[in-house]
Amino acid sequence: MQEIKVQQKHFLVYGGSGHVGHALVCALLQEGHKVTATYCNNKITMAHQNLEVIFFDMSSSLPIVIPGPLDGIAFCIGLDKKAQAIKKIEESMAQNVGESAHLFSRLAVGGIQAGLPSLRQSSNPNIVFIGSLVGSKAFISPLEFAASQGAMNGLIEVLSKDLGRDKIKINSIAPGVLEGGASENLSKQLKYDYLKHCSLRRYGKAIEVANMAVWFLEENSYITGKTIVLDGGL
Amino acid sequence: MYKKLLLKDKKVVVTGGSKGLGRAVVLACAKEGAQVAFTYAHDDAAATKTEQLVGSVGFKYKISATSLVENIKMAQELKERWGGIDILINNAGRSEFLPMALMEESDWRTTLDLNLTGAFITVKAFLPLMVAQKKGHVMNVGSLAGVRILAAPIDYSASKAGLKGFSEALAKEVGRYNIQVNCFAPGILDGGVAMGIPENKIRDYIDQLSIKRIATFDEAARALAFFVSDKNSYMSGATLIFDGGL
Amino acid sequence: MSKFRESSFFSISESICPVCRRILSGKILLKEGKVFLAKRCPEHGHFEALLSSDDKYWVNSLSYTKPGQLPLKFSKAFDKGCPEDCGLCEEHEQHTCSPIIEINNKCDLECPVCIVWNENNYEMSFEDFKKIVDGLIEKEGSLELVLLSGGEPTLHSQFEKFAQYITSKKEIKRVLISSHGLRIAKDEEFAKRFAQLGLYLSLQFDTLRGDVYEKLRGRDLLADKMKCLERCEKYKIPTVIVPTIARGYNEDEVGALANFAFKHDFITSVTFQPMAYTGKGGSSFSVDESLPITQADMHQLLATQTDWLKKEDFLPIPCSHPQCYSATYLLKVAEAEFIPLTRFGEINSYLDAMANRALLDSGGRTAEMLQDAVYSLWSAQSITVDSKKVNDSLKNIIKQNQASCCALDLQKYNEGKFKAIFIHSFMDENNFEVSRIRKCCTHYALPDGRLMPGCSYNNIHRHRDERLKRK
Repeated sequence: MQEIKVQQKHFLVYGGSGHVGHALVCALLQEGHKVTATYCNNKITMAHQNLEVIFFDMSSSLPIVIPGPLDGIAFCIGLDKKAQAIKKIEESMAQNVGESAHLFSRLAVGGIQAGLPSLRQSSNPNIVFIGSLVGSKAFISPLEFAASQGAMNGLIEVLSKDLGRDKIKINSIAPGVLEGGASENLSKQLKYDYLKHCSLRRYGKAIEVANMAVWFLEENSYITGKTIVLDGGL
Repeated sequence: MYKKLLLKDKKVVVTGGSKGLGRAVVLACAKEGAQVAFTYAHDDAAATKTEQLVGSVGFKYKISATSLVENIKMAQELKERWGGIDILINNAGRSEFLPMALMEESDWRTTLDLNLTGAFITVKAFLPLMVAQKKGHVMNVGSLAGVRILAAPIDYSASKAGLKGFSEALAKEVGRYNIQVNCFAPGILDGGVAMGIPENKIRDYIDQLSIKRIATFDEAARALAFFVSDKNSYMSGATLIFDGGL
Repeated sequence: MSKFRESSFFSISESICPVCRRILSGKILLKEGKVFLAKRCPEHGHFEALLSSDDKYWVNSLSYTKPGQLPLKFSKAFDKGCPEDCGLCEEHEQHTCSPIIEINNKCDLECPVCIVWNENNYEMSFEDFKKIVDGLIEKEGSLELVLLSGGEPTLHSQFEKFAQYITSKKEIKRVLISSHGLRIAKDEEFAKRFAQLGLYLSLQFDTLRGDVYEKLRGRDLLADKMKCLERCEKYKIPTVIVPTIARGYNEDEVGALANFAFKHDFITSVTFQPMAYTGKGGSSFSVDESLPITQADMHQLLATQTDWLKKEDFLPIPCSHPQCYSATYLLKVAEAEFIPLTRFGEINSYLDAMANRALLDSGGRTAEMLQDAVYSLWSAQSITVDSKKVNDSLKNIIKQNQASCCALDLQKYNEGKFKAIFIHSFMDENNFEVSRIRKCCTHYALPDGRLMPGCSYNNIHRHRDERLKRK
């Protein structure tokens, strides 16, 4: 026996044009599922019979409502380049530090609220948030971003309690430094230090994060409220 | 619609595979395309039953998880038969609730020997095969009791917490050989070691879960089969808490 | 008549005229399994020098290279190009692994093989010495070792003051003295003080035969050398023995010398130096293009003359140019019993831990190398190596490393457990290649702050050094 029979599902991916988001969209389509993917700055040009593409700006657009059953939502939206700059505390603006946490939380809560009626129609609904290592382990990062990831981890734990009554599982996947993507903004020294201390001695790949997210969206029936760290053993 | 097998052609060793979670893991791995060798110490009938259920892709070894000599012999035989192994799942373990006041040193040692030292011994026997092929995955089955404050036996909790530290340190040491080491920490499972707990305590526990139910062996085993597959290729030194949201 | 050349052209190589030392363009030729450097001076004619007696080894060794380490600062900007800008210039490809400070040019021997020009007219002042030592620390931060040389450095009138100063610097882990050993042999009180200063001895030790000393060093020094070693053992002076190997004189003794070194715990390594035909003695020592002993020759000689070494145990060191140094590291598994680390693991990636120093790197790379060696052995379950002996030896080393509370004792302990055989090929005016200078990491440290790659100094710049010119 080479393959296992599975049912086609429908997933919503916020940030489907990003580094990990794009990999996730492709992986879900490859599994045969239907995907509704959003984009903001980089339009998704890929065409596929199971793919629907929607413009979505997390600071202004209303969260997306999917008619009919929805088996999972993935949040893959990152920060813009300006917010990704690593600054010393003397250079940071205190009033800006919470902005990213506010944006992510608003996206997560709003997106989940909008998706609830559809998620409740699924037999095994899952929500996955693509976060970052910096919310779980001490690693140099922009202050705003680190604050936002820590906030999301707490939010996910609490939401898991609330959503559990609808059997909706919610988890975060926290990748370490990946090849490409936002890691391009890290300094050579930081990336060198990461490699030195990473047990597997390499950067991760977007597809590895996507594979984990696919399982959590498609199969996960019991893990909830957790942050899954994918950092090669840092 | 079909999806590919997660463990196609993988060679898997499961300790304590004759019954309970171990049997479920053996069956889940076999279902995903693996060949599975499992160990057991006492229950011949259960082991035979597992062998029958898994079919031609699985076979049993009666050895003690705490015997280095026997484990090395098994490793050498598997090297002859399979050429190497890809995945080692350290599941063998025991639990018996005794309060501190009644726990003897011998009880403590027996639990630690099987649950923690047993994992060390099987790794010592099988890891060279993975080092030689520069690839492998070791999954140590811990417990929620090793990562959270729970009303669990002290010796059991200590051994499972020990497995977490063992997994992390080993991940660090052998990551350079492309070997991943992780810890799978389930909460109470239906039919598992905690089922001797009074019913009211189980109800209290379920009340605190987000999912409001206890998972089955099969659910845990299917999750574990994914986490030891090549689809999980960048996780190491992690502890996967499978608890339904406590 | 053949229409083809007798040799295969491999590449261009910049060299110098052996007579006038002008820079020339030469070519590397492969001929009859050997490698030659051919060059033509417009004034002095055609020259050819043997570079290697094994073309496969020579070509393969070129791949043993890795990015050099940057020094904290360079002394000179790029101007005329290599080797004119020596100092180090900002184009140099490696930092200073092994600095040499020549504190005098006085010696009481007139060795026929000497590669320097001792005019017996120079002693470095303490101020200059201080400047050099402080300058080295400024450029490198910390140094695994510094070598004091000369002439004969122990004859310097302020030798012990110099030694006290440099050993007081915690940034410098070891201080080696390159010496003929006669003062230690003749003066026991000096030997004691040498040991108390914590100095290492890099001892010229060419042969176990008195008549060969006469030919290479001008006198039968065997009794003095053995007395020196006796004192080193008595006062626990860690010693590196440095035989100069000259074809026709002592190349039949390399095995015996290696065996001799490995019988004694206080001898940490052997550095074989194939004869370089430069310097006051060396340049007039008889030379024929078939006579130079190359790296490949040394590997063959050691393999043939011992029953515990193979040619494959020797690997080029990528720290400097791969044709400058090759080495093997060996683990002590029993009394006088050593096994090359190459036998139980892929240690190629750890050649930088070996570097080109006579002594083991004390940093993390050595620990990683040991761990990989342990794992390789464990997973291979090799039947050609006595696994239990090796495992026990490694386990004792690892345990001792944790039990030891004194870093210095630990360093000495580790030096007893691992020995190295180095083969260091100097260049002379015949086989000089500018490409090898570019990545040299063995530098003479001069009072004006320059760091001069060794062979560049010996073949070109020493003649221009005002300090050493006859007044």
